[in-house]
Amino acid sequence: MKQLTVISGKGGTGKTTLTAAFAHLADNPVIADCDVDAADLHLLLTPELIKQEPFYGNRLASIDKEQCSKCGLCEETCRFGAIQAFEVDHTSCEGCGVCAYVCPEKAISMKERLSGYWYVSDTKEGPMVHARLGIAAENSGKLVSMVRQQAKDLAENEKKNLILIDGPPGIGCPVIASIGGVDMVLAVTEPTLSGLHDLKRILEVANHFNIPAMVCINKCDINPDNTRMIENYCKEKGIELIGKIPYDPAVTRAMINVLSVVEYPCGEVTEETKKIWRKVEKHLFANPFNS
Amino acid sequence: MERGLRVQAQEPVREQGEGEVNAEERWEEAGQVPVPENAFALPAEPQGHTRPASHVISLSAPSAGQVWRGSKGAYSMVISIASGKGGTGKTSVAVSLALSLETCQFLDCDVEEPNASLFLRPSIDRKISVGTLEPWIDESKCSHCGECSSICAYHAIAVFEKNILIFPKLCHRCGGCILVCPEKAIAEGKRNIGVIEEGASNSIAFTQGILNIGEHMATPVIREMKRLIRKDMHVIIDSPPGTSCPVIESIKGSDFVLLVTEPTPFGLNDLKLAVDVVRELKIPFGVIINCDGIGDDRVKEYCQKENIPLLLSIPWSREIAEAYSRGIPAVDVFPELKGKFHSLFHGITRIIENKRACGVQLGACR
Repeated sequence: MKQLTVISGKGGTGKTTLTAAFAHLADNPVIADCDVDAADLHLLLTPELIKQEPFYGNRLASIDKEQCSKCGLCEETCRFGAIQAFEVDHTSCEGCGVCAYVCPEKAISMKERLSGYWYVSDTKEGPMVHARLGIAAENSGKLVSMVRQQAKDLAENEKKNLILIDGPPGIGCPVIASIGGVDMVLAVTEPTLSGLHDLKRILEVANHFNIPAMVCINKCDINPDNTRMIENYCKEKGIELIGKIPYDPAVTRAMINVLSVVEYPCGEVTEETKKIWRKVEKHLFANPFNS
Repeated sequence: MERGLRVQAQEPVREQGEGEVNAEERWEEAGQVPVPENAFALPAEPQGHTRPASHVISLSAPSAGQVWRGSKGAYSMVISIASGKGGTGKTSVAVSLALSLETCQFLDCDVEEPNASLFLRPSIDRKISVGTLEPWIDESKCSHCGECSSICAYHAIAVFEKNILIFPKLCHRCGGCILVCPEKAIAEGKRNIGVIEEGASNSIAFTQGILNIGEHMATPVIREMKRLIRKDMHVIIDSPPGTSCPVIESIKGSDFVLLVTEPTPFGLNDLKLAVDVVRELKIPFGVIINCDGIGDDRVKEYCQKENIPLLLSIPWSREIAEAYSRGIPAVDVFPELKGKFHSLFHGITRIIENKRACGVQLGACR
């Protein structure tokens, strides 16, 4: 079984748009939306919910007012500034339990905190695992790991040979959780200074964790000079640039019509996306004895 | 307006409890913002890549030590720019707002992928390394009792019969292991996880955080950055995308959050998630639609239905997109946009004043 994560560093470069297209083109994949902060893939794949499970992230300190003697030790010891005036600030508490340990009155208990939900759904492109992080909840990395584990189990049970993962932006914990142990990452970038800057950082992250990477440039005609700069950068680093997708307002129209860019006529974008997928597939399933 | 660019400043939804406002205080329709004596004259500016000092144009725009005087007393504000969805134009809006204010502090809290410096091109004169604490174990004292491992909520310490394994990247530096160790065998070491850079771009005090490659946790860097927030000027915080810990750490304690979105199904979905978060944090907020015209009207309908002030719409323009790609802020391409950002700022000031008048405590981050 192979796993591919679509990442970008910078947000809004087209990760989800591309993942949805790949889901349509791929032969029977399991789809995992690991952007649990701001999941969007379900908007294009219109999943039919099969299973919903609660997700418990970090625990949360809770003070029993009746037992509390207001000694203030908890507030003094908490390194996250989460206790003020003998009240726990839910958004600051990281669930370490130190306050409960130091409380002489045993007035603090650590409670399970519902931090979101994860789902298994059926889509027209195949089974999908996705999630929703609770409002102002922590621990998106742990939820990402949960989504990936479920996707893996599903792929093994249903004998699927590919897990397509839509990754989050950035380079921090949810990204690291999304790319750990995958066979390949595809970094989607755009020819802007921000796009290039962020691409370099995300490729360094992939390199840091020894994951093979490929690059594709979206909206490549917005700035041909920058596109060349990205091409040169990739060449220099020995990373394959597998495609360049031009800007087309039809991409947004496809989204509004709840279709991927390979199901809705987007001209060159459609063609280029198909070409990119063929290359991705070839690399993912390449027979090492042939090369 | 030149080049057919049309920017609409929407009438903000009136806040509850708002008293009478006189004509000067009212926030008018697009392009009709009244020009009070202390307002911002907007001379035509040359387009360009550099940021000449001639950008200092306003007569009594806020400057260091002389903060914006709202109608109900003087204070400086902390405004965060956030979005839910990535790539909607947070940095663009934050930079444009900062350049319109001229004097302010700019905090790029997107420490995973900081981009504002590409537009503001600040000179950096101070670098502060950000460390996080991690347990160091004196194995000669350790009795392998396992107390440290059992209190650690993050599974960052594993104790075996003869040795101990520490996973520094999982450590949240809560200090629990040190507290429980009966042998006093644990001390705190420091590990670098990023750097904070401080500098200036004309009269904008610039601060950015950069997380080291391979590090998981952005929040300690953001937390350190927020300790550098100044009290003598307005503060603009460029937040990371998403809705989880780094975003919350960035926007927590702000006086106001500007949510930037795009008029697409993705933009709307993620806007709703971001609205849930700012409501949970009880921070007043408003919405900016960027790239208006590329999608549909559902974001506008949502804002109307939810009574969320839609403060500004910036139309999609290839010129802005191309300038962005070269690191040129939108207000440099269309200087008239500055007026829109000024009225946006007036609108925010008004909302904050009303909230304060109603006794709402804001701006806890300083």
